[in-house]
Amino acid sequence: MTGGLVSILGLYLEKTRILDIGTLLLVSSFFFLIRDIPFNYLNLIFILFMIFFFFELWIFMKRELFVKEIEKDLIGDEGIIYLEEYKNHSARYYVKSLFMGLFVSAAGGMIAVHSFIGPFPSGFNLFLNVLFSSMVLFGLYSVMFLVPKYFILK
Amino acid sequence: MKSMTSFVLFAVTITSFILGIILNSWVFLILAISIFSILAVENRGALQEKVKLKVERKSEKISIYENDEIWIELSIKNEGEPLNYLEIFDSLPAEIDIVEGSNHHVLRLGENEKKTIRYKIHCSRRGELEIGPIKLRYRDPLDLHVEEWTSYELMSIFVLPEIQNMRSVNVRPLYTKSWIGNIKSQRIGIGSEFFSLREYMPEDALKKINWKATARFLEPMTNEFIGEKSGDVILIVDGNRKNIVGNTEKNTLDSTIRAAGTLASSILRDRNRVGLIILGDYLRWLYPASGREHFYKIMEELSGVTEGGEWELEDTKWILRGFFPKRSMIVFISPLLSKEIGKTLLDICMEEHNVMVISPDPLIIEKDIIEDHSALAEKLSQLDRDVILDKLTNYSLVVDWNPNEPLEVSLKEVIRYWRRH
Repeated sequence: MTGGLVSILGLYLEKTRILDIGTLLLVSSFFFLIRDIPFNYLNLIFILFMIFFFFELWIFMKRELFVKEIEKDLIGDEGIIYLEEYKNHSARYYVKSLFMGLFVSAAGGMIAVHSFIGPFPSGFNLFLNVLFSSMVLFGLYSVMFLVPKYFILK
Repeated sequence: MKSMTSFVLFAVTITSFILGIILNSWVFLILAISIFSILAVENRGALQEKVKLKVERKSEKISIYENDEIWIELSIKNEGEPLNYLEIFDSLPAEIDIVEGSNHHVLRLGENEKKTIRYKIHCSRRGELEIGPIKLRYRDPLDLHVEEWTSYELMSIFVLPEIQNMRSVNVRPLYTKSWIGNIKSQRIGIGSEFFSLREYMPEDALKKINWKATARFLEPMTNEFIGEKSGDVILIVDGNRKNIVGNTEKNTLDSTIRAAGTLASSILRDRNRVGLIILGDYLRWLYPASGREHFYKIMEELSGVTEGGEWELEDTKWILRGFFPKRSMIVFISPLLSKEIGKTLLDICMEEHNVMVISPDPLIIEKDIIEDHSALAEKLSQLDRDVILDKLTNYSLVVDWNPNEPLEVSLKEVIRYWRRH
């Protein structure tokens, strides 16, 4: 709650740092509150949804501040076209990025659920699970980004 | 280059991962996986190759007058890979205000695409102002990859002191020189005003023959004209620190410089030569010359005087004696706060110069700035000033100028009075 208020204050005062701190407070307090939620598909979807919801909220608030900063300097109508172009393109970019992120993390989460259904019994199993998920993520990342980049540079 | 946000997100990932293990909570582990996936996906926002941008700045002119406005045009050409989120910021000095457009934009530039941004600036302070460098930043929308670079494309703009247009009054030197000008001299020469008749000489032009007089005297007669000559005027600008009254917005130095610019413009237009001595941070001078180019030289020198120095009028005596032509008109522009000026001016007069003193009233400037001023102090200062002005009137033409009014008004009044007496 306090985190949310701090974020709004940051947005109002047009201070990115306050906004970042507020969002961090909000997210960490939310996740700390629901840390004991049972591990199943429904809750996994809920958690993923909340993560990306918070992330999207944060990113859009930051974008709002940036647009405000540019708009503040604009006197007359010169440059409005460039700003509108930026606003449209960046909104599409966010949505695309978030969907891709959601897809990748959902894949990682699914693997985790498949590896172990129910709450993690011990730290060791949990660690193995995360390691496995991370390896899958790294594989995905390599196929999607590192390999194409290598060929582009060649 | 990864941005600060990207490092923070990475730190959150690690923290969530550690918390997940410590608290034995899958929620924090999913959070770690999600943020990591965002970081991985967002890698597509990073620049793949070196940015190749060509930035140019243009303006319609490089010298303008105080309170004038000009358009600045920045053209950016992308010669490399497409840039979707390029932020551009043209650094401006504090003395410049933007009236229209903006110096800060965010652009999308495709391959070989060129975009132009324009903004109009208003310059309120004189001096040489430097525009630039241009700061460029590529930042992906999630703010995870940032590349910053600077283009040292600099541009100097000379903001010349504001000048008033003096049409109804001319400051003319008492002594004229041999070259042609607009001042009617006491000699026969080239001019337009009839002086007398004389017998025709073989080298006389036909158009000079007075045909009516020729018919009357039965021998060819030629018209003679009053020679129109020009003279030398030397402007001495008092930029002594002790004589500056006011703040950065309004002060006697600014008024002095504006008066010098106005006089230089008017005197040069009248085809006289103008010289300049500035008692500023260091002693600068320009030998008398005429023409438009010389006018801009004078204005550039004047625009460079931003703060006062230690030089006194006394220090100009050796320059006047050694480098400047004799029998010139000296125009000393000063708020006259120093009492020793009178003696120096008398010495200058003794060296066959005719002297005019233009004094922007420091009391008026002070009154405009300070709201609560003591009436007694004001009266005493006014008395002091009157004594100095009275003393100077004995051997020079003194113009007590209210800087809030056009210089032309005060000059007209004094010159009219001087011609009558």
